[in-house]
Amino acid sequence: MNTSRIKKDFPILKREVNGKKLVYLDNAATSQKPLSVVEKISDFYLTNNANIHRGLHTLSEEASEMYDEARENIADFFGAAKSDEIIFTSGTTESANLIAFGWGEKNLKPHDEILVLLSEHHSNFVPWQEIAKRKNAKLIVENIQPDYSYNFTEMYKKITDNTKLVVLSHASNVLGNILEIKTIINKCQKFNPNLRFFVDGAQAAPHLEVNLQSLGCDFYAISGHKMLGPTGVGILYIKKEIQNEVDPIKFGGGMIKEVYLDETTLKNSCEKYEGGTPNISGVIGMSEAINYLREIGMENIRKHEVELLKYFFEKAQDHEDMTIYGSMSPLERTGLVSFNIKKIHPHDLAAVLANEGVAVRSGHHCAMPLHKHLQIPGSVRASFYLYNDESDIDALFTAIDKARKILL
Amino acid sequence: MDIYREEFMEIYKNPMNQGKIEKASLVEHGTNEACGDEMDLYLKIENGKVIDAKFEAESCSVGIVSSAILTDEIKGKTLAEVKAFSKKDLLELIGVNLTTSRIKCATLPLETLVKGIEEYERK
Repeated sequence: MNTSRIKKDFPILKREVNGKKLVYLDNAATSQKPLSVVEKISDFYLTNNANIHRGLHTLSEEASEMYDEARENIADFFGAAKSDEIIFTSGTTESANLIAFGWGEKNLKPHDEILVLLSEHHSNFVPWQEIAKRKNAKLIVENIQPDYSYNFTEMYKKITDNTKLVVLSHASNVLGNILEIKTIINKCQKFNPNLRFFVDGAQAAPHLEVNLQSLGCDFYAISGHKMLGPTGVGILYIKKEIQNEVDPIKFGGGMIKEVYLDETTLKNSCEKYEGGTPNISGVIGMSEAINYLREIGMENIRKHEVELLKYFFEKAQDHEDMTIYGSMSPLERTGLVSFNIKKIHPHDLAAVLANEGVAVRSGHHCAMPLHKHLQIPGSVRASFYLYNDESDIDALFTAIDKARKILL
Repeated sequence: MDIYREEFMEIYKNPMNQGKIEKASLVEHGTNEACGDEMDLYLKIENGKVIDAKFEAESCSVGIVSSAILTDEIKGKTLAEVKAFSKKDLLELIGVNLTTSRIKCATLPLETLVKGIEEYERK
């Protein structure tokens, strides 16, 4: 992959930080945006801006068409059977909440069970904990193995007739471990064919080819801003057959068929979940981000990140004081590495790296249950994307050397 | 001024007042939910005066240095004087430029102190 050409498409990567070249390795938090996405959003405001599906005037027609085309484009990219299965939310957090409260409120009964994994991001943990509490249902947390993997054979044994939902992350935001979603779903269904599956794809969709129909889940959540799109765009897949099991949680304009004084009928489409004026420019920008990714090819991005992981692990061998969390096999993980350096607090390390122009994340990465389990206050996470190259990893390791000199 | 200047790092590497006080008049636990830092603050109080202050912390350099400076500062002061000590006073004493995200690391010891004294006075 030609990273030097790709870097040129991202103007922010030219900037300096503290007089040093910016090395952006915080992509798991949010990715940078290519010029084409920024321009698409700005063009929309400069030439087409109007509310959608409400006006008969030219601008409204144009904006509506662009918004609907964006949904088609995104549905096609992720292999949904129809665009009506794609719902735009504000992000993965809202997507999980929509299913927790829109589906959970309607379908969970006392003593029902929800299965979740210990390593989940809070946004894919707390909504389930909360709805379980409200419905008197039980949240069952599957523990992680000492080698950072899950023993799914053990998890399958916990599935009973009371189990209603299995919650999985396609990839963890701390460990990066990629789950074989299709296989796990198939096996779970042998224990209970009526299960529903919610998959958090926030850390997988930006890095792997995702085909929703082939995965076989009922719900899949994607974070637009982690894959070159603007903030405020979540993509939630709800399988068409399941949509009658999920009530909207936002009521208002744009989602109704008819309103009478005593009754309201809702649209029978994805729009019933999108009450109010949606993030029109964001969705249109997101579609442009998808075009950019399609052009590069998800397969190429995946290969590139595996190469970067190999390079990172190779360099890490010379750093005996570095503890890496998660599988050491690049093929089993996405392009992120969480680690600690002995005797250096993750915040102090991240602060020295920041002084050197290297942007990483430090802390518990919104995964407190996992960090508590690992008995560490936090970790430092370097996460790669299509524009990163070996020189960025070199800069990271040089900055780590500097941190040792200052802090130890 | 850069937080990793020598004077600051000196305190971090050899912080004052680190440890426990046996039979302390006040023990308060503080946590910073945002980053997972934790600390215990120990105060020995006699006749309304702080006669000893110590801390134990699992924290970054900012938290350690701030705890060391704060415990040093309040020793010998009356509870009224300690209560008048503000966040601004503490940041001035630390004397380095902290980014917004690190200010919370520095103020955890003070928040823990305020909470501890409230508890102590209620008893």
